[in-house]
Amino acid sequence: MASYILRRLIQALPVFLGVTFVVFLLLYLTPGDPVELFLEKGGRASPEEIERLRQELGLDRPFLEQYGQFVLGIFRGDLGRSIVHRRPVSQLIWERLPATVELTLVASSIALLVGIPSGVIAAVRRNTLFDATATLVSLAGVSLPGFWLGLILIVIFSVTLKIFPAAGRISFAMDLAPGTGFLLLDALLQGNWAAFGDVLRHLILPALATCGGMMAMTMRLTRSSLLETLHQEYVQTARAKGAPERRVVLRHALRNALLPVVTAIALNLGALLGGNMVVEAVFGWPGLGRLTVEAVKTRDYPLVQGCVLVYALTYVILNLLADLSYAYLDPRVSHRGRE
Amino acid sequence: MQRLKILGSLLTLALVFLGVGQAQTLVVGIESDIETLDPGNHRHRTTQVVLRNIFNGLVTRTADMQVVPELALSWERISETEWIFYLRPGVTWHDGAPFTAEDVKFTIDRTVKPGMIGGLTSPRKSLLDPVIDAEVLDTLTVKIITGVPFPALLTFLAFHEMVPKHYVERVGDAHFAENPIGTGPFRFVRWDKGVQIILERYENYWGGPAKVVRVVFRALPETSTRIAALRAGEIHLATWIPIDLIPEIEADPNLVVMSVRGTRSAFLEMNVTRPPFDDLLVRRAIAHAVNVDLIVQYVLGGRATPIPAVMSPDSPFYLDLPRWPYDPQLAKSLLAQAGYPKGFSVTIDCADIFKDVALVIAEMLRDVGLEAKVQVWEWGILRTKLLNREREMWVTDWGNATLDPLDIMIPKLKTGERGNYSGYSSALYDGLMHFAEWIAPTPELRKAAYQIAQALVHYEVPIISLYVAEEVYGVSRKVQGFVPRPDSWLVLHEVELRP
Repeated sequence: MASYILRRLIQALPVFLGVTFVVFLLLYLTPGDPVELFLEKGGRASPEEIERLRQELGLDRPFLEQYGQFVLGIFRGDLGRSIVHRRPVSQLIWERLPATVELTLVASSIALLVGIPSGVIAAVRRNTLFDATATLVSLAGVSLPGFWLGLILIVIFSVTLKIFPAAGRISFAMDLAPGTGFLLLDALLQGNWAAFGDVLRHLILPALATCGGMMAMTMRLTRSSLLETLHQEYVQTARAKGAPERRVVLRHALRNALLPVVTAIALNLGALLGGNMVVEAVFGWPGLGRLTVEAVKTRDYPLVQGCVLVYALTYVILNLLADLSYAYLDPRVSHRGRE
Repeated sequence: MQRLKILGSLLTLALVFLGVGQAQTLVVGIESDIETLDPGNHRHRTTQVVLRNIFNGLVTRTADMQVVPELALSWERISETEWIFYLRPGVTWHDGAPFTAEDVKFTIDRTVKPGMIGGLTSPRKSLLDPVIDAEVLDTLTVKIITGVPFPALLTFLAFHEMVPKHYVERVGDAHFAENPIGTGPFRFVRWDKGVQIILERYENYWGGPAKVVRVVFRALPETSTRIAALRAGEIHLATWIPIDLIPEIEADPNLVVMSVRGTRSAFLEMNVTRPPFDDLLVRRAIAHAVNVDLIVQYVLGGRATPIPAVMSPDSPFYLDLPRWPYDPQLAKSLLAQAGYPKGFSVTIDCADIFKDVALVIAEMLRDVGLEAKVQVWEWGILRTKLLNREREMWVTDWGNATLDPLDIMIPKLKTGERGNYSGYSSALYDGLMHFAEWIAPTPELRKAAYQIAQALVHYEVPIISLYVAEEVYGVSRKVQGFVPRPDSWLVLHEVELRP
């Protein structure tokens, strides 16, 4: 198993190189001068100084040399220095990544905890009122854009009811010692229940705004996949043997029905980890999405590259996890044959 | 015991819910996070707005933009290129160490000499460019030396915050940029990146302790969220309220709208290097075709001041010329005279923030027979195209926080400068800029040169000056003593919170 994982990771190397090269090239070809954008519209800047900034940042060198520097840097664990923040890119990413991961995990937990059970119920009680309602709700979940839902949630729960904060990740009054960067976890580890509650309150609205699409997808996919499985012969056999219906559905059918759901979840998680920029902006959530958007706007090449690398890595790892989980869900799928 | 602990935590949580103990905390919602806590290592207005509460300059400006002493008590210009500053005694850094002339020299060196911040040069160098050195005369006296005469030194010095030599040398630039100490009214507590910056008042501040105990700047980039947080009472002050959302704040009895004329001049610019806008008659026709008053009234809700030429009315260098009168008939006949009796087609480019203004201008140009449409761009791309002279006409603006012509009249209109998108090139204008910057022996002559240059631009219309917009804040009625400033600084030392 370990060697399988290792081989998969090595196979992913060309993916990283390909992705970063394409992004590097696209950035390079997009008009917009990072130094000029850094200096903003206004104020003085002499041509000599602009040239010096460009030199100090290595932006005066040819394209391939810049890209080569970047790749060599990756192997040394150095993603370069951000033009705007003037700090190491890896540092900036580590500061922002936990926020995005935490939000994604909470949002997808909600999505799965609601999506899978309601998918199962909808399949078992097909064509009932519950099924129709679930279908309607999931349609809404897919169609409502996150930022719109986010603003509505803010108006209802922050402005009107004043139950949840409109934005942010932790209150300024909370004293939480720096730790893993995953604030829920840090609060737990430090036994700081006040901070735990505070962080949770900040998480709920953005998580609700984020989870809609995934919840709907999980529900629909569980339902259709389970319906299909319930007509399989081995399910009929289980029923014929006199197994109780609950056991037939949950033990025999559901496990197999979840295979396509797991793949879809993996891809969805990838999208959430990377594509959550709008919700992050609405809720002032200090995640990677916001950092990336700002980096693209200011043509902060090293920072954009670093973020893209993280996204590529995320997809590769999630796909790997999905593949590995098949073996657990369906023992007939084995990776040994491929080793 | 464990149970007691949990109970205690729950109690704390409940108190936080109820907002107990927060009455003395002023919370400000800002439109972006800051970029760094090192005042010498950025070119970002919001960063300076926040940092100015931790740090002081040698001089500062009042709310009406007059330069006044801050860490320097007085100064004298002993020669064309040498200034002596007498520092305020009794000033301490937030770690208790005294502020001295050594700190001033350190700051000046760090700003103007290459490679001084972790091997990189300060990006603020060109905001103090003619300064080449500083010399410590005694503990509280320092000489600042410029390479050439620099009459605007004081105005520009107001934008540079003093940093502590002893501390930066001990902890290094990178650590300083995360854990700064300054001489300002508030000391740094914590920066939750992307979320908030927390400051606490410095009890030994030379100007007396601030009125609020704590200040929190929360980064809320989405405007609707910033306003929602204001209405929910989570923040007391919100920056950058767009004109169309003002009614939402006005409708809330707990809030007031405050505004002040800013320092950004907006322009309608034309590519003067090729037809049709290389023709003065055509440019004049456009100037007569655009009704700036109407734009100000209907697009900007009256919250802007039309300007005749480049500079803001708040600048001492402002020249009050009569604007080109709105006269579509005259515009048509000028176009006909220029050989375009049937008009021509033109695309007005802009970044998203100027879309509404550009759409209204397009409508006005259609009224005089031009086939005008609007194209909205991402600024980075548009800027490159403008400098390549690929476009025809566009709406943009230029910031002039110093209100000194040096950092607007030169970059916008001098030949080959970085903000000169229209491609304007006039030997007379360039000569006037050179004279004013390097030669003018008296402030009066310097002012005269800039004003003649403004008249020249007004006459040749390579760009049409539109307006200086107001900056709008949403403010809780609990906030007392807040004064919005043209340079958008948030000076919070005197601000109070009513319970």
